[in-house]
Amino acid sequence: MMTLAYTPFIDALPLHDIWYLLIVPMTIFLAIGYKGVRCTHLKRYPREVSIFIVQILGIMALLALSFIVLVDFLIPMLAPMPA
Amino acid sequence: MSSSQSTDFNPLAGLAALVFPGAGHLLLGRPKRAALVCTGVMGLFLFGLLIGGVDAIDQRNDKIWFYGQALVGVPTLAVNYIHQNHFKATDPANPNLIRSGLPGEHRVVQNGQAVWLPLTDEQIADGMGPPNVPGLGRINEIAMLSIVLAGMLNLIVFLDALMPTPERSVRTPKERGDA
Repeated sequence: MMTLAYTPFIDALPLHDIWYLLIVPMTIFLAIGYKGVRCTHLKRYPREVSIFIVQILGIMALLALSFIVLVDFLIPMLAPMPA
Repeated sequence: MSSSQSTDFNPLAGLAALVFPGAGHLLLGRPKRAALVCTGVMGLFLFGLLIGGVDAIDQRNDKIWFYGQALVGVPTLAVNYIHQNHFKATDPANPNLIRSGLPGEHRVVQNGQAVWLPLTDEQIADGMGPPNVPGLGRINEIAMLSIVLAGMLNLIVFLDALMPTPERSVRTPKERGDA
C-alpha cells in the first residue's frame, strides 16, 4: 500500500507548530451549531454568532495570558529557584 | 409570540437528531435551523477528521473519547467501522492485539484476517507502508476534542429536537406598540 502522498481525512495533518490556531475554526463551527439551536430569533443569528465567537476567543486569549503571567512571572517571584 | 410549529415532546425527532445531526429539526419543520445545526456539528466532525485523520475515531484505543464522539450518530459509527476493519490489523507477534500500522509494515489479508507484515528496504523505498498516518501528540488530542465537541453539541441539538422550544420572530417597534 502506498502512503507517500497525504490523503485528506485518512492521514493526520502535520500542524504541530500552529496547533493553537486550530481553536479558531473549532470556535466558528461551535458557534454556528450552538446558536442554531439557542438563538431565539433567527434574524439576530449572524450577530449572536459573531458575539459568541469573539467571547470564546477573547476569554481563551485572556486565560492564556493569565497563565503566561502566572508561570513566567508570578511563580518565579514567589518561589525563586536557587541559583 | 408567533408559532405555527409543534413544541410537544417529540421522540421521533429526538431519534432522528441522534441518527444524523439536523435530521430532528428537519422533521420538526425547521429546515433553516436544521441546516445551521448540521453545518456546526458536521463542521466540527469533519474538521477533526481532517486534522487527525481516520485515527481520531478509535473505539479500541480511545474508548472514553469514543463515547462522546458517538453522540454525533451514524457518521462516527461509520468512520469507526471503516477504521477498525480497513486500517487496523493483527500484530504478528500477538494475535490478540489489533492495532494501527507502524512505519515499515504493510497490511495483508491472510485467510480472511488482516495482519501486519514487515516490509523490505526496497518496498519502503518504493513508498509502501501502512494505509494511514496516525495523528500524534497535540494534533491527535485536538482532533479527538473537535469530534467530541461535535458530539456534545449534537446532545444539545437532540434535547432541543426532543423538547422543541417555540419559534419566535423579532417584533417590530410598531408591533410592540412603541411610538
